[in-house]
Formats: sequence, C-alpha cells, structure tokens
Amino acid sequence: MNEEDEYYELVTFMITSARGLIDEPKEYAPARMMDSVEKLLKVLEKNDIEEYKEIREKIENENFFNKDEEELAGSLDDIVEMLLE
Amino acid sequence: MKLIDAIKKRRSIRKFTDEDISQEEIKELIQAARWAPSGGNLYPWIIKAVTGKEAKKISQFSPGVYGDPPVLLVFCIDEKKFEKKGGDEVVKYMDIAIAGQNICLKAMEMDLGSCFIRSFNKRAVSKILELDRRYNPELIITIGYSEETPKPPSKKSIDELVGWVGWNE
Repeated sequence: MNEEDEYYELVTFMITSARGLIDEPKEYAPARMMDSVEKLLKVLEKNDIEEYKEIREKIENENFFNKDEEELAGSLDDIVEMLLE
Repeated sequence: MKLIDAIKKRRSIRKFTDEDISQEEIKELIQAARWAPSGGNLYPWIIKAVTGKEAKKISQFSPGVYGDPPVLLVFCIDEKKFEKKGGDEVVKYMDIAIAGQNICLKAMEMDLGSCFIRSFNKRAVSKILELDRRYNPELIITIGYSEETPKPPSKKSIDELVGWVGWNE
C-alpha cells in the first residue's frame, strides 16, 4: 500500500468511526480513537518516524473494547505516562 | 465435531491469514444459513459474498472489521419482501441473526474463523455493492482462516441465565 492509500484508509476509518459512534455505545468512542492512533502510528513508522513505536506496541497489545471503565482509564493513563517519559 | 464443541470453541476472530477461501467453502457456509428457521418461512434476506478489492473497500468503511478478512458475507434485509408479508419488524433481524450464527458454527467446523460485525457504514456498503434500494445491509460476517486463538471470555452460570418455572410442581 502506498502512502496516499494509507492516509486514505486512516481518514476513512476516522470519519466512518465518527459517523458510526452516533448510533453505538459511548464506551466504543475511546477504543475507536485508540484504533485511529494505532493506525496513524503505523503510517508514521512506515515513513521512518519511530519515536512512538513502544506506544504503538502497547496500544496494539491492549483490547480497549473488553475493558471496564476503570481498566480503560488505567490503560490510557499508562499511555499518557509513556508520552511524558 | 459435535455441535456443543463447535458452540464452545467458536470465537470472534479479528486476525486472519491471507489464505484464500474458495467459492465451494462459501457455499457450504450458505448451506448452513439456508437451513436456519425464518418467521413464516419468508427468508427476507440475501447474502452478498464479497472478496478481493470490493471486500477491502468495504473493510475500509467498516470500523468494526479487523484483521484483513479475505471474505465478507453481507446480510441484506429484503425490505420489499418483508413489507409485503408485514408483521413485527424484529423478526427480520432475528432471522438474519439465526442464519448468521449457523454460518459461524459451520465455519468453526471447517476450521474457519468468523466475526459478527455491526460497525460499518451502511451508505458506503450499499454504494460499493450497488445494492437496489429494496436491500438494506444489516450485518457483515467476516470469514477467513484464523491467525489467533482468543481465550474464552467469562460466561454466566446456568442459574444466572434461567428462571425455572413449573419444575417443582
């Protein structure tokens, strides 16, 4: 997939997620946002921007859809901490 | 494979290999769907079996689709057929749910992975598939060879799920 297609896929995912979330459970919203972040970081890595690799791997290994509110907040707080390091 | 084993082993699969699925395999899955019950024997649905670039395009417009599945089975309600017969709207959704579960269990028996998807953009899917207005896409089932073995989620006990009525009389 070329760079243009990768951006198209990301933008399409974000816009269709925004539309879908109007009708979906509100708990899906943080998970969809983190899916978007993961996709964005993958595109950056393919373009040799690797500063966020550890964060991307952390996101990839989490299942944000299967967490209760407390677990979800904890996971997201951990990722915010990683950004501060 | 015993039915109860297929029921217990089935998981929602979100990582697929790039191995192709044949039309013969898909026909076996559809066979399982066509033997599902339907209110009034109406079967107010059709299935679009989609692969290749159209499947990739639909996946792009479906936030709930994960893992590059090689095949998408798109259940479309035939609104015209259902309206003609009339009745409780819920029945048409129950019909596709039952047929969909049959597909997932048959897929399990065939060592294929599957996942029910509701998070997709209906307007985009209708346009990509050039659906007639009478057909309303309501469910996508992703199909492919699984690249993961998800652990079973916790399940409620039988007593939490059942209220026994009249058994001790």
